[in-house]
Amino acid sequence: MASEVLLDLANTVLMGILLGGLYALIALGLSLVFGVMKMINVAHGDLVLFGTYFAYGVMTCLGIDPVISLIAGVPLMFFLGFAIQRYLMSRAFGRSMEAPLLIAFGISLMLQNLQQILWTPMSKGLTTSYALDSFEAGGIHLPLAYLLDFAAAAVVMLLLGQFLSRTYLGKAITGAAQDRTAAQLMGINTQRVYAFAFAISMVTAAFAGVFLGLTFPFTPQSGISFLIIAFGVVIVGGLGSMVGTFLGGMLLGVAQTLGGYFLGSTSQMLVVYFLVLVVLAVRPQGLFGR
Amino acid sequence: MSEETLLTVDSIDVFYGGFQALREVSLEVRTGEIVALVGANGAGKSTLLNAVSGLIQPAKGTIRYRGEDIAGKDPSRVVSLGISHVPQGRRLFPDMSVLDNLTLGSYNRNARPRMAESLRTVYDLFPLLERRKEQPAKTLSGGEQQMLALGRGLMSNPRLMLLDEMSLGLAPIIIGKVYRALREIRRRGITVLFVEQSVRRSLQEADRAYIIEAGRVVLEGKVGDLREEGEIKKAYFGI
Repeated sequence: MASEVLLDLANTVLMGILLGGLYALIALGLSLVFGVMKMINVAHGDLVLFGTYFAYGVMTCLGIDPVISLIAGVPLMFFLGFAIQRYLMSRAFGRSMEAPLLIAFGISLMLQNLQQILWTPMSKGLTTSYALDSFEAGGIHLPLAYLLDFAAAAVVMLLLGQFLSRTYLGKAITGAAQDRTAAQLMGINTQRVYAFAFAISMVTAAFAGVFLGLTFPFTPQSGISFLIIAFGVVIVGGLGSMVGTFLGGMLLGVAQTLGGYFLGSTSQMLVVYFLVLVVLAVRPQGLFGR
Repeated sequence: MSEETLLTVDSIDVFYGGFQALREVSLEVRTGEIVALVGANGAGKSTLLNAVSGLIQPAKGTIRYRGEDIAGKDPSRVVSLGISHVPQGRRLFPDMSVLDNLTLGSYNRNARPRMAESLRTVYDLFPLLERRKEQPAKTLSGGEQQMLALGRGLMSNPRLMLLDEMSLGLAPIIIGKVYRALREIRRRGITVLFVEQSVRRSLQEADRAYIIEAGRVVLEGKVGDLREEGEIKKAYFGI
């Protein structure tokens, strides 16, 4: 009996960790944009959802697998992100703190309504042949989608980390994040670098969107819940820290599945938000922030 | 010394909000010179450098570099024209390695193709930086960080360097080393405009100096002449 309970608990924690990978992937773009430009992109959730709907559209209209559709989705999101920063946000930057916030809010509303017009307010899902499969070993059951989520998150984070620390452009982005003035004096065009950072954040959003869609149903209003999860992750993990984002995501995921296990699925998010509140009260810079 | 004018600042006004930091400031730097900008804290020395490198835009006046008006140009453009500004407080990228700090110094389009060459020059000048190239910049001592800041400034392949308070917070023996580096930089044909609080140090290192007070140039000239002027003592030492 006891071993069964333990196995169940282990299964729950493992699910939480895998789910946490997805949460970290959702939050990654938000964290990157904040780290580089000190801007909270409140449209991030809806941009992730835009990635989900793009994959959904490609799947329903062309019958192409959502993961394969990233071949088109990633460059689309990259250019969309570049354009948003270069032609919209950059104009708002030096003016006031509220201006970029308002623009992001406007983008958010436009995307929500666009999805509603295109795909109705009904709940959809990226239903594929493998989305509902599960993986089983030694009494542990894990949904295949969760495993894919985690693998995708790990790969995207690893690649982003390598890009930022090894490539010249990545170093320029890191430099601009650490000291904007010094970066300008080096000849780094910060507006251009910011546009790249936003574009890259949208690439992570494209991945997050697809894997979210494989895992959970979504409606045109889902963006806000993704944004809240992303906020939770960066609050717990610490804004602008990649390792923090990864671990923050996992803590949130485990809090959710354990909450569901002990209190029932209706209260699982309560545990997540309680964790966020406690971290805000005790360590406002986040567990891994400076 | 060539008499060709490299930089001409012509009666610029700079404001921070309602506060006027510079009033009708004019200044000239000729090719090959070392020019000092001397004054107390808050006199407007850094503001003048910031205006030249494009970090702030003057409300009035022109800044000509090799004949081209650069007032209000983006700093990333200005550096690609050959003006390298090593700001006060060094402003290194603290978490990046010494080498990454240096290579980012060559980011501008004109310096990038010569990055390897510039790196060699910087390592020759500061062998210490080569030994520490993998270390994060923040782990260097104050003097080493100043060397790195100078090295990073050299990586942009400049004709003119603007050096702001290099000796700030450094021990006298280290300051000596920093100024030795300055003389070495000049020997490589780079023109220097530097900001310094110490009158004695400025008159020792520069060819000419501008004394700036409350946003105005109050005195200028060859250091030999300035040394003899009683006025500088009155104005500055209060003797």
